[in-house]
Amino acid sequence: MTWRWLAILGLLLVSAVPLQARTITLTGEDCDRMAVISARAPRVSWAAQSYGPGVFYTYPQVQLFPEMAVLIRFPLDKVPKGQRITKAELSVTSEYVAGTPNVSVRRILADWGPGVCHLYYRTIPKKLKWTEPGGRGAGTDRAAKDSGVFRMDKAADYTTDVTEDVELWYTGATANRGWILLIDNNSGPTYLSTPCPSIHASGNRWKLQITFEPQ
Amino acid sequence: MTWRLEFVASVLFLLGVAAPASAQPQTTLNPAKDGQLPNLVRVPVSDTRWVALHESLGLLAFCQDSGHLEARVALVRLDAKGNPIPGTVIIKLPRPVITPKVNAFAVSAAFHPKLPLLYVWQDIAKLFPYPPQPDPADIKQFDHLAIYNVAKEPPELVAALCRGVDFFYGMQGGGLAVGPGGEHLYVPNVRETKSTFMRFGRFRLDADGLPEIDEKMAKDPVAVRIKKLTELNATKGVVPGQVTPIEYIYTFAFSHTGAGHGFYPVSRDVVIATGYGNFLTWRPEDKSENFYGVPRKVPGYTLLGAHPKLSLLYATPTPSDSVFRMWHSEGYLTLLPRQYIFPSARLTSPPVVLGKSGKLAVGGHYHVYVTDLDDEGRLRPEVTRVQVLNPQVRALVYSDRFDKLYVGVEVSK
Repeated sequence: MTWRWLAILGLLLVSAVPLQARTITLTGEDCDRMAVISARAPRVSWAAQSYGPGVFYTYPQVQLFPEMAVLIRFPLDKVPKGQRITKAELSVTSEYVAGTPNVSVRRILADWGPGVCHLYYRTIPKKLKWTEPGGRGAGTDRAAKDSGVFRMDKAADYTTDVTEDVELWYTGATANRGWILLIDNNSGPTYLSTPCPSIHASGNRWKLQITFEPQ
Repeated sequence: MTWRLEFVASVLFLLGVAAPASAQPQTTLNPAKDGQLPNLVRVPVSDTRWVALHESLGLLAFCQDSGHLEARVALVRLDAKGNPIPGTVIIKLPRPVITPKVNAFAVSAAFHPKLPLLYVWQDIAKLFPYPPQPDPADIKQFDHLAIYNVAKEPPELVAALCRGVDFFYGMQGGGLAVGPGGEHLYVPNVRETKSTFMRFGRFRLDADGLPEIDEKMAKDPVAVRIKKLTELNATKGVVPGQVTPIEYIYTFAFSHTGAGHGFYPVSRDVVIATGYGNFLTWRPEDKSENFYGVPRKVPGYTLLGAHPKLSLLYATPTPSDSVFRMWHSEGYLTLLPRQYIFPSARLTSPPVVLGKSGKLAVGGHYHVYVTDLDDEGRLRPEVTRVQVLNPQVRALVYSDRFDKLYVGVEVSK
């Protein structure tokens, strides 16, 4: 009799932990804005992979070269109200790496939207240029400092801590305009699995894992 | 027994508090409520699968499905108020005698915006074998493109082109469109003959609306040009002067739905098309930004519509319960497609925007579904469904001039 109740008590104790702190995982399938921009195709929003001169596609990979950038926004509406973000980690999968690219992750400051490309952060309802082409303007297009860096040297899963960004967005201290990822040490390329869902693949290799607890 | 129940209850409790799984970004609309749409015009033409509208000529051209040996287009004239005039004219398209006899059908049609010309794409109801096999000899004589002068009564065949191995036969779909100024004709299901890969292309049209093969021929009188085109069609073949790049894995993987399901010519040299699992943008004259695509989550024969004022496209993978909304900027596809689900619906037509009232309509099983659009072209959750006599509404088109939505319905017997 005693062991049975002890076991149930143990289960309930385990269950009590998620009630205090919960972790959710958002993937590329949850994202509401995405783009892959490139100096080689200055007006294209989806220059993820080149098949030849002037020909691009979106899957199965983002073949990230130094002249490119990935823009991605995870909405945070799945985090209930009244929580405190205790940890957030962004993960990507590299399927191929040449050299030792450092892929920086920074918050986007510009209100990017339809028509986003290497030249503009949006073209609708009117054309608005990045301060620096490719969204590289520090403190204007993107945050002045890196939120995290993926230091890549082999095909593998990479994770970086983005707790501060998610906390800022969740509390409303700053608008959630997502991140811009780009190679900032002129190395690479790295071939990332695409975050863009398709009939061929899901976007679930891009993950934002958020742990939170009631305030 | 009690112990097991307690254990199961505890496990279920644990599962209940676990983190939710991620979901695809999408909007599920409310279940449709029965209602009416005052400006819906039911046009009695059986087995419709596509409709083209020429507002200034007051003509509707309905492509009919494969119930006949010859492909058929039903031409319906409209009066000054946009009401159909009784006396539908049936055009029977030319075809060779194929043994064994296989039905043909009109896949799609498009009017020239300035000339009284109707372009029709036809195919045969015999699936293209895959992996490919040698083409039957008589199928090589089948012309996919027929051009009609609709100013004549009855309409007069101007030319039948796009014959033979340069085009896929046995495709269930394929769009057709003429560019806004009438400079180009976009055609589907172009076949790369060595590899048998799929793509689409476009013809440059001359001042008479005929495919322009070369500048020398363009100087000939129209009757001479038609004769030369017909001769060329029977020998070397008449093929589009410009074709999309080949990408046979993701962009144009072989499908019996064809390549280039729907076309939206944005401007003279930019067209957006739909494929089995994607949106595609093609800028034939642009070498650095020539071609790219954005995938959708739902595959299928995908019919395309455009917003008349905003840079938005809508697409229905058919049959499915979904309409996708996609931004473009001067033809550059941008951001992610947004999926709108019509619960329990089986949609089969292109999405059509009713410009005057700011609504979106889409056809399905015995119904036309209608929803309001907000100022950014998003679908409002409330859906009205209007009953129509058609198990598979595929032919749906809106006239801004007449503010009428035309739908092909079965002929009541």
